[in-house]
Amino acid sequence: MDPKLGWYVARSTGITAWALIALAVIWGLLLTTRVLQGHPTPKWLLDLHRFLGALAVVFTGIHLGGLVADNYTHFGVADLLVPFAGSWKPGAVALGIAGFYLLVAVEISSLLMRRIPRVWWRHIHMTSFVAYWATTLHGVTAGTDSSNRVLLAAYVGSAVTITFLTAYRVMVGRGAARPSTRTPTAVAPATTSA
Amino acid sequence: MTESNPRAARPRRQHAAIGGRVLAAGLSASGALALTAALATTTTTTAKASTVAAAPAPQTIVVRVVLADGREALTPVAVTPIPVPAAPAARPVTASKTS
Repeated sequence: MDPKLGWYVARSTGITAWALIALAVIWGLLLTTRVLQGHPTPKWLLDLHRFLGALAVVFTGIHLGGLVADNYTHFGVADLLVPFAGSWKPGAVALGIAGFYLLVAVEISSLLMRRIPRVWWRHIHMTSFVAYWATTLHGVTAGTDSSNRVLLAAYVGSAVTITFLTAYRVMVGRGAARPSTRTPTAVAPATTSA
Repeated sequence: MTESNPRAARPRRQHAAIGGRVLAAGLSASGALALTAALATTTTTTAKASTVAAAPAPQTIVVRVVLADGREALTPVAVTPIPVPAAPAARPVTASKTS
């Protein structure tokens, strides 16, 4: 077995986790802006939005596990959980740690959504934008593969998409594309929970 | 007297995006595996290339020595090959004016 396998797994799952975070944010924005006008249905978007978030947490866990298990680089548990504890690019690593904690907070608050005040969930959920930008900057500044053209294109593409959808959401408002004639599909209860 | 349980009455939530979930999980897992394989392959190729370019090992050759009295002797000598730099590309021939 390749002695650097843990290192390779850490790098590949880090990229995958970042992509899932970006997709989860984009899915959430597609859901709340309703730019797709019900195709696919809000219920479908919400279900996949939740699943993408959970999958991002799983792959982030594998990313951290790969770094700890790897012998090629020397990351301890404290280096990966405490900001600025390690000596290797402490600022860049701290961004990843912050993004990880925010991701976990968003996931836990979503699982407990029915048991916590709605305003708490909403405020915590808004930090997913911070988590996306923190993990993106983490990937750019700490990632070994950040100079790869395909990955750079993915960073830029996701950043442009999320910036555009966020601006659309702020300027036009929630559910701007909602049709004036209400239908049972358009006012499905599931659409109001994201 | 019977009491209805609201939890039991609530319909079980269906996963709306089963296909999307399977697709997302499959793409994520296969993408991570493919990336891992690509990273391992790329790094191995680089390591092999660097091994080829490493300094050559010393070699032993046998030299025939002619002594002053005319006798000959064979003696082993260790030599280290010096990498010869690649010859510069030939300049394109340009027409020159001849007087």
